[in-house]
This record gives sequence, C-alpha cells and structure tokens, in this order.
Amino acid sequence: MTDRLLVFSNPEVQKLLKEKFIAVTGDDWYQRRRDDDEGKFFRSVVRQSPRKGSHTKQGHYVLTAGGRFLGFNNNRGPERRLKMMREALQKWEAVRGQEKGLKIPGEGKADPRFHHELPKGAQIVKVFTRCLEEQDGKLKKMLNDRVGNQAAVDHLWLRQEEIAALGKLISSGGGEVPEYVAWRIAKFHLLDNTRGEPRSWKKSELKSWSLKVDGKGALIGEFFIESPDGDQGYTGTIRGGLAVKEGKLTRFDALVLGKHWGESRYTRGARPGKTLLGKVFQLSDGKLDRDRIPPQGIRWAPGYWEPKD
Amino acid sequence: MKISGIVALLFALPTTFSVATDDVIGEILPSPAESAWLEIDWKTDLWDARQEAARTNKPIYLWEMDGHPLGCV
Repeated sequence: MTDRLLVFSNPEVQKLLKEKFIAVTGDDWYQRRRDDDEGKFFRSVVRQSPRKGSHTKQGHYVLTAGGRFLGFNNNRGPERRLKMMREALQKWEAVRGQEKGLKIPGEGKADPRFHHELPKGAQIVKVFTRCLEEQDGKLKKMLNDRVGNQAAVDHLWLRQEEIAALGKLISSGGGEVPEYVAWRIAKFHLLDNTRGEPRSWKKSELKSWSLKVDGKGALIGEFFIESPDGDQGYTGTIRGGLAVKEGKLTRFDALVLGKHWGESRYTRGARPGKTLLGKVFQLSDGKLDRDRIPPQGIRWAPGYWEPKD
Repeated sequence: MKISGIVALLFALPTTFSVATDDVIGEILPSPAESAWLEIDWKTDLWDARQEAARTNKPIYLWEMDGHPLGCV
C-alpha cells in the first residue's frame, strides 16, 4: 500500500509510466505456480532477475514483450524506482530495434488451478476496509502518519444461483442470508486487510452470527468473531440493502462498523486493544479490469464458494 | 453508491454508533489522493500487456505482489 501513495502517486513516476511503458499488475502467488503460457513466460523473466532462486517473486520488473529482462526494484521510494525505470529505458533503447514488429501469439489455455475468472452470471461487490478512530465525537480515518491508515480493497463474488436465491428470499418476505453466502462474507470479507494479507476466520471462531434480509431488501447483521485464545476478533453490525431484478443484483450496499483486535502473520502492527474498523460493500458493474480482480480468498476456489470450516 | 438507502436504514435501525452514516462511508472509501495511483492504466493480464507492448513498441512495467496489487489490501 505504501507503493500506491509514495511511488505511483508521484507525478514523475506517473508520467513515465503513462508515456513510456505498458503498466501491468500481477499476483505473484498465482504467477509463480501457473503451469501455462503466462506462468512460464513470467518465470523465464524472473530467472534473469535478482529474484532468481528466491521463493517470492514480488517486486517491480521492467521487461520486453519478447521476455528480455531490463530492470528490477523492490524499494518503496520514488527516487530509486525512477532510477531503475530510467536505467531500464536506456537498456530498452539499445534493444528496441530487435523487437520491432514482434508478434506475440495468442495465449494458450490458462491453468485453471491458478487462474480465476468471474463465472458466468456472477457479480462483483467491492469491499473497502478502513481503520477508524473517534475524533471530536466523529468516526474518522486515522491520522496520516499511522500504519494501516489507507483504505484496503477486496472483491466479494456472488454466483448467479446465489443472486437468484437472494432475490427469492426478498420476494418471499425475507430471512437468513443463505449459508454459503453468509459464511463467505464472514470468513473472507470481515477481515482487517489494512496492513497486509490477514488469515481468514475459521467457522469455530464465529461465536455469534446473524445476517438477514427482509422483504424490502434491508440487510441487517450482527456478528462476534474471536480466535480461541481471544487474541484476534471482530465484533459489530452490518446494515445495508440489496435488490435483485430479473436475476441480477441491482443493489448491494452495506456498511459494517465494529471493533477489531489482533493481527496475524502478515498483518503485524495492529493498534493495541479493540479498535474501530469499518467496511463498505458496494456493487460493481465489473467494467474496469481492476474490478474483476479475483477475491483474495479464492486461491482455493471450492473453499471460497462453499467454505466448510 | 446508493448511500441514501443505507443511511435511511441505519437511522431506522439501532446501531452501536450514533454517527452520521454517510460521513462514515466517506471516511472509509478511498479519498481522491489515495486513488491517484489508479490514474495509471494498470492492465491485469500479462499476456495482453505483452501484445500491447509489441504493438506499441514499448517496454512492460510489471508490478508483482503476493496478493494482487489492485485487490488484496
């Protein structure tokens, strides 16, 4: 997240990226595992870079369409990044003639174990998360110099049949949100992802849970989630609304407010004690590439769609 | 976002917070300053990026994270 503010909001970095490069993002967890054209191509570039031999392949690479490595950096600062980009551009100038007219073939079949696309008829709900605090009697984002002060984003995916079931629930007067949808929201989307990738909740940690929709589409929930040792948890309320027309969600808004505590392996630096954490769920039309990024929790897809424990 | 619906619901239902709900939603959502990095036309498919880079004769800038840069945190 530091990269977003410090590096990619820097006007000089933006100008260079917009004018001189094709900018692309990737999830190293998938890329280093994919047994398909894209995975093989990515790893062939990594083998030319300082990441050769290391488990993680995270970082910032410059490469050619043909797969020639030109530069790498993993420092969080615009100066070093700009230096790497400029040096890579100099290398590019020396080789660009060799790639002129290069034709990249169509991509072969993607490895389904490590490549997820939104299923037909499924829809996307963006989930924004923010650490909050009371300032002058109001709930505010934390002051700018605090760790985890930025909004985090993830995506909730809902399948066509689940949307239909929600529509049927509303038209029949309401009731509990179907189990897999409710449990998916709790397990994967009521997390504090403001400082990194948190672990998902276990079903046994859901001490109390209620998520109902009424006959008008009002979404009402209460939850208390806590680890066995009590070191991690989240408790709060869910309020929102949803609407389904002709089998499609036309509305899915929710505000989650509650107190969160604790941290996991990759989310160190939590505020001490039980602190305010807010979430906003917003229906997305999925038109932007970035809105179709798979949910973080879908790495093992069956466990995302039908979580069991 | 249809905030008004949420606001109406929140004021109609008891919550643990007595706050102006639309203000809170505004606090949670990314601010324009936080979204500046999205002014870059980030692609999400490396193969597509290869094809565009070849077509435009430009190099590729690839940002890799364990957890997608556009949707993990």
